[in-house]
Amino acid sequence: MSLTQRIWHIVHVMLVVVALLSGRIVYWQLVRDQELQPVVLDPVAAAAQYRALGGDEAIDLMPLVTLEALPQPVIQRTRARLAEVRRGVIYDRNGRRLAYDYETENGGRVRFYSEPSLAHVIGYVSGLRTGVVGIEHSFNETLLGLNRFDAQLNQMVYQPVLGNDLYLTIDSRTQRAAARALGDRAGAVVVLDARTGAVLAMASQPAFDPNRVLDESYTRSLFANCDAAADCLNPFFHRAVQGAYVPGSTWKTVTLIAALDTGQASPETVFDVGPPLRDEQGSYYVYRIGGSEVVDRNHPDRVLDLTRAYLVSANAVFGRLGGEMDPAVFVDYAARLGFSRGETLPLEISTGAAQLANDPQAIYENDFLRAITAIGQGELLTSPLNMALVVAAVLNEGDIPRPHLLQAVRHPSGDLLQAEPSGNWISNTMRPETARQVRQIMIAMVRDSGMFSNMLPGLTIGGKTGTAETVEGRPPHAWFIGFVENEERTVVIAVVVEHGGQGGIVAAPIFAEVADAAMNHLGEPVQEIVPAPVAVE
Amino acid sequence: MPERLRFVFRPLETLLLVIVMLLGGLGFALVTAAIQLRQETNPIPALSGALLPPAVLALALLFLHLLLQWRGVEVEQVILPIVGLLLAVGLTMIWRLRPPEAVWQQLWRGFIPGVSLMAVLMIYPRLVERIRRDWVIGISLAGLGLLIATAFFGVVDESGARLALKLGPLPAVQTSELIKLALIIFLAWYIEKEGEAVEGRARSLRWLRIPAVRYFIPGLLYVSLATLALVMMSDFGAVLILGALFVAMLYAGFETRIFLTVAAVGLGLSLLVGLVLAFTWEIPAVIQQRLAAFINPWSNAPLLIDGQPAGVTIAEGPGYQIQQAIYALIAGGLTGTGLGFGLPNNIPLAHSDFIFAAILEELGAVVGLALLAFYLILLLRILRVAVLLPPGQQFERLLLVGISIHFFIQVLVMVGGTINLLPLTGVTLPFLSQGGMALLVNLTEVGLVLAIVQRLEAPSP
Amino acid sequence: MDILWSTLLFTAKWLFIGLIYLALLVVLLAVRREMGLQVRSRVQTPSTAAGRLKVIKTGSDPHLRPGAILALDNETTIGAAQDNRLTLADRFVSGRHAQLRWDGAEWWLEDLGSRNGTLVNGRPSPPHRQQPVAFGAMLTIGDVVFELVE
Repeated sequence: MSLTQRIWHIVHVMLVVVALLSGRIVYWQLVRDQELQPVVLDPVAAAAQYRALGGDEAIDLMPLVTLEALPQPVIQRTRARLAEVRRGVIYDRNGRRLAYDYETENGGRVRFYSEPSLAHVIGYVSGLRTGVVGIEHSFNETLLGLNRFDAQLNQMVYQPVLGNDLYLTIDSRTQRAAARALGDRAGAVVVLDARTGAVLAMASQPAFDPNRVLDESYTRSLFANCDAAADCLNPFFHRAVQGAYVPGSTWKTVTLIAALDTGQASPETVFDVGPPLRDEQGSYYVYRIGGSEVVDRNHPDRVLDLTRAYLVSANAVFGRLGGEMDPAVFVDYAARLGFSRGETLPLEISTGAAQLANDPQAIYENDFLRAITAIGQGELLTSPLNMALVVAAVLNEGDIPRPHLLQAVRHPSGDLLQAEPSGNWISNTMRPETARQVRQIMIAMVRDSGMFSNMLPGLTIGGKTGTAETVEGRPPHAWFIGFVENEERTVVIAVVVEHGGQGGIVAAPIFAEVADAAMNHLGEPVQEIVPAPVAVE
Repeated sequence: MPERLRFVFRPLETLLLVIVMLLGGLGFALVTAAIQLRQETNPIPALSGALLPPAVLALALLFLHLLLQWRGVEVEQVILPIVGLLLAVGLTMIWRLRPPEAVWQQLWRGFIPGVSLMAVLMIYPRLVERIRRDWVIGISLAGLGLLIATAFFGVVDESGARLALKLGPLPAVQTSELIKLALIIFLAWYIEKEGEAVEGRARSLRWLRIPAVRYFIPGLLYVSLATLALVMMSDFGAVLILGALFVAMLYAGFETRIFLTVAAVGLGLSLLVGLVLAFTWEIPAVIQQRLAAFINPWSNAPLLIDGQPAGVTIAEGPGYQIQQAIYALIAGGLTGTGLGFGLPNNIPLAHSDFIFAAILEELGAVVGLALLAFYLILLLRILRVAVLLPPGQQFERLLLVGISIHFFIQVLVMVGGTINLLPLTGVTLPFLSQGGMALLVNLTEVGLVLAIVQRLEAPSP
Repeated sequence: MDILWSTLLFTAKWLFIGLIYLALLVVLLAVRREMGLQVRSRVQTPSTAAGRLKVIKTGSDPHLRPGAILALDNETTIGAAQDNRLTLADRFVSGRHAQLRWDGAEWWLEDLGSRNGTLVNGRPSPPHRQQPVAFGAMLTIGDVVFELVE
C-alpha cells in the first residue's frame, strides 16, 4: 500500500468526520430545537420541558410558575426576547386599561394591573413569572403578537414586535360593585348578559394583588394560615368558575324545569305534604322515600301549589318531584343544564365541571339520593357560573348562550382581528313554554317574598335563594341566583358566600347591589384604586 | 537565491480574493452598524474605523497573491482564498465579540508575523529543503526545550493552565503551538530518513511486523517528553493533537503491519503514563468535569470530583458553557440572528474555544456548514498536493500530511466539543479563533504548503 | 431603530451569507475540473540511437549511482513523471523536463519548459527550442548531471 493509498484512507476519515459534525448540527436544529427555544410562549410546557431535561422535580406548579428555576441560558434569552416585544393591553368593554406594560426607571418592564379584583380572570404575567390561569395565560401568544405574520416580519428586520390588544366583556363598574359587595367574605359573584353570555363581572374571594406577586414575602404571606389544610382558603383558587359548592335550594330550579317540561306538574299543581311532625325545633314535614326521610322545615302550610313551593323552598314537594321522576329524565335534564356532562364549562380561562353525584349511576339506583339531590343537597357540586347558566337558559327560551370574556382582539393599529364570539353552548334544554313558566315563577318568588321591595325600581327581577347545608358544625353556603331585566338588557347574577349563612339574608343583598350597578350604572367610569405607575406606557 | 521569474496570472484566486475582501469589509461594517444602531447612535462615523482591519487583511492577501503570481505558480489557487475567507469571518466575529483591541492584537501578533513568514517561504521555497537537511534537529529541540521551559517557568493563566512563556520584555509566547509544528517536522524527517531501514529490518511475528526498537526511541522519547510537559501545563487539547499527529503520521509513513505494532505499543505506554499521573497529580479533576459536562450538560446532579461533591451542580458548573453554546446555535437557526443581534457573549470564551457556536448563532447553520466545507476543501487540497508530488519527496509529503492532520484534528475536536459531540478539550479553530501564536503557526504551515506547491506544474494543455 | 437602517442590516446579512456561498460555489466548480490526473501513455520506440547518458552527479535521486550508464531512444523524454522514458526522482526535476532527440546524425536537446531549466555545459538552454548537443556535453537536469557519451 503506497502513501497515496494511505492518504486516500485519511481522506475518507475526514469525510466521515465532517459528515458527523454536520449531522450533529442538523440534529440540534431539527430534532431538539422545539424544547430549547426561549420560553416565551408556554410556561407550563417550559416547566415540563425543564423536568424532561433532567432538571429539578421540585418546580412548584402553584398557580404561579417561576421560570427562575430554569437553566440560566433560557432565562437570559427569554428576557432578551421579551424585551423586544410589547405585550398587548387588556381593556374592559369600555376601553379602560386593565393590564398594561410600563417601563421602570432601570429600563425593565413590568405589567401593571389596575383592577385587583380581576386577578383570577386576567391572571398574571410579568417577565419570568407567569400564572397558569387567566386571560394572560390563555391568550399569551395573541398578546405577544407572535402568531401574526407582520410581527414575524418585524422580527426578521430587527424591529420590535407589538402585541395584540384584547378587549374583555367585563364592565368595571359592575365588577367593582361585585367585589365590594362580597367584601372580605369567601365566595364568588358572576354576572352575565343573559342573551349573549358575555361576562360582565366575575369576582372571587379571597383574591390576591397581581401587582405584588413579584414580592416573595407577599406571596408567602397569603398562605400564612394554611397549616391546617382544611381551613386554608387558597387565594389563587378561582371560585367563580372552579368552585365546587353544594347549591342548595337554587338547584330546585333545575328540578322545576324538568318537572314542568315533562308535564309531571304545572305551576298550579297543588301538593299536600302530609301531616306535620313535631320536635324540639318546631313542626316540620317529611317526604319518605327509599327508607329515608327528606326533611322540610321551610314553610308552615301543608297544602301549597308549585309556585309557592318554589318560593318557600318546600323540600317535601321537590323531594317528591325528584323521587317520582324517571331517573333517566332526571339525569337528562341535569345534563342539559350543564351537570355531569364530562366536560368543563366553556370559557376562555380554565374552569371546572359540575357534578350531579359522585357516581351518576347512583341516581338511578338510589331513590333517596335522587330525592335529596332534587332539593339541592346530596352529592351535588357546582360553581356560580354553572348556576348562572341555568338562569340564562330560562331567559333564552331554553338556549344556553356560550359564556365568554372576550369582546374583541385588535391589532395594535386598531384593526379588528377577532370579533366577539356568539352562539349557544347548549340549545333546546327545554320548551320555550316551560322557560316562560319558570321565568314567571322566579319573578313571583322575588315579588311575593318582598326581599327587594324598594331597592330596584323599574326593573323586572326574578330569582331563587339557596341555603346549602355543608358539613356538620359549619354554617351553610348562602346562595342567590337570579336575573334583572329592563328594555335595554337582561342580566343574570349568581352569588355564593361560602359558609355565609342564609341565602336570603346574606346573598340577596349582594345580588341587589350588583344588579343596581349592572342595570343602572353600566359603563360608568370608576375611580382608580391602585395608584398608576409614574411612567405610563 | 530566488530562481527564475515568470509572472503568471492566477485568475481564479483573484476572483476569490475579491469576494473575500468584500466579505471582510461587509462583515466589519455590518457588525459596527448593528452595534451602533442597537445603542441608538449613528453608525456612520464609526464605519471608517471599522474598515481599517479588513483593509489590512485585504492588503496582506493581495501581497501574497502578487507574490505567487510573481513566482510563476499556476496551481492551487484555492488554498490562499480559503484561508483568507476563514480569516475574514474569524476577524469579523472577534470584532463582534470583543473590543477592537482584540482584532488589532490578532493582526499584529498573529497575522502580520504569519504573513511575513509565509512570504519568506514563498519567495525562497528551497528553505523547505534546507529545513530538511540542516535545521530539523535544531527546530525540534528548540520546540521541545521551550515547551519544557514553559512547563516549569510558564505564566499561569485564569484557568490554572500554564500555556505561555514570558522571556523578559517580549510578549508571552504560547509554546504549546510551536511544539505541534516542531513535531510534524521532526516526524516527517525521521520517517523519511529511517523509513526504509525500519521496513527492511523489521521481524515478522505472525502477521505483525516488529521493527527494531532502537528506531523508535527518538520518536517516542520526543512525544513522551512533550506530552509530559503538556500535562504539567494542563493543556490536554495539545496532548490530544500530538497524539493524533503521531498516530496519523506513522500510519502515513509505514506499512500497516508495522504501524499497528507501534501504535499498540504507543497506546499501551501512554495508558500507563496516564494511570501513573492519575495517582500522583490532580489532573483528572479537569477531565472528570469535562466528561460530566459532556454526558448531560443540563444535569442537576452535583458535580463530583474524585467522588466528593464540589459544591455546584453540573448544570451550573462545567455544563453551563455547553448549554450556552447549544442554546446559541438553536437561537441562530438556519440563517442566524444576524451579526450583532444574538447573545453570543453569553457563552464563556466565545471568542476562542466557542467561536463556532457564536458563528452558528449569529450567522446561522448555513454559514457554519459552509465553513466546515471550506475546511474540508482546504484539507483535501493539501493532501492532493502530497499525492501529486513527484516521487522521492517523502519529507515534503509527510509534512503536508502532518499539516493537514493538524488542521483536521483541530476542527474535529473544537467543533465536536462545541456541539456536544465530544467532550471539551480547549482546542481552538485554525484561522477563526482568537489566539496570536496559533494563528502564526497555522499561517506558517500554510506558507510551507505554498512553498511545496511550487514544485508542482500545471497539467499540460 | 429606523426602519431604513433595519432593512439595510437585513439585506447586508443576506449579502454576507450570499458571498460566502458564492465563494464556495466558485471553489467547488474550479476544483471539479481539476479532479483528474492526466495520464499519458508511454510511446515505445525502438532503440537505435547512438548515444547514452553517463551519470556524473546523482543529485537527490536515490536510484542513480555515479558512473551508471543509461540508454537512450530516438526520442527520450526526461522528467520526474512516471511516463517519461527516463524518470528522475531528483526534487528539482520537473514532470516533463527535457527531451533528447536523435535525428540520425546528431543529438538535439529541448527544454520542455521546466521550472528550473536545463543547463548544457553550464549554460541555460532556451526553453522550447531545439539545441544541438555534442558528445561529451554536460547536461544538468535539476541537481543531476549527465555526460552525453557515445
